[in-house]
Amino acid sequence: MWKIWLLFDARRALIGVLAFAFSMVLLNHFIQLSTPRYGSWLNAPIETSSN
Amino acid sequence: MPENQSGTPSGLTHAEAQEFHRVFMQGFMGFVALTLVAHILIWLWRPWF
Repeated sequence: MWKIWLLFDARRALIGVLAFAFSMVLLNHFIQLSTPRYGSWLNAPIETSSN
Repeated sequence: MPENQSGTPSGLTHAEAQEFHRVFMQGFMGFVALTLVAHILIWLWRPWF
């Protein structure tokens, strides 16, 4: 597996992986914010949902 | 025609590639562990199934 670094430039790959991971995390957080179940963790507490 | 002394396309020697891989995997495992803890906490708070 380490041989991948003989092919790909480590610095560029690292920047690429970090940028990709960051955009995925950003996207997922905003997706969750747009859902009814998790969309209120910032603005308003919903009534006790564990029923 | 090797572009550099190491003779590999990336320019890293075998030893450097192995060392970088070790550090890369440590970082990745840290990210996975952190994400796992976050998901466990969220599940305890509000399960999604």
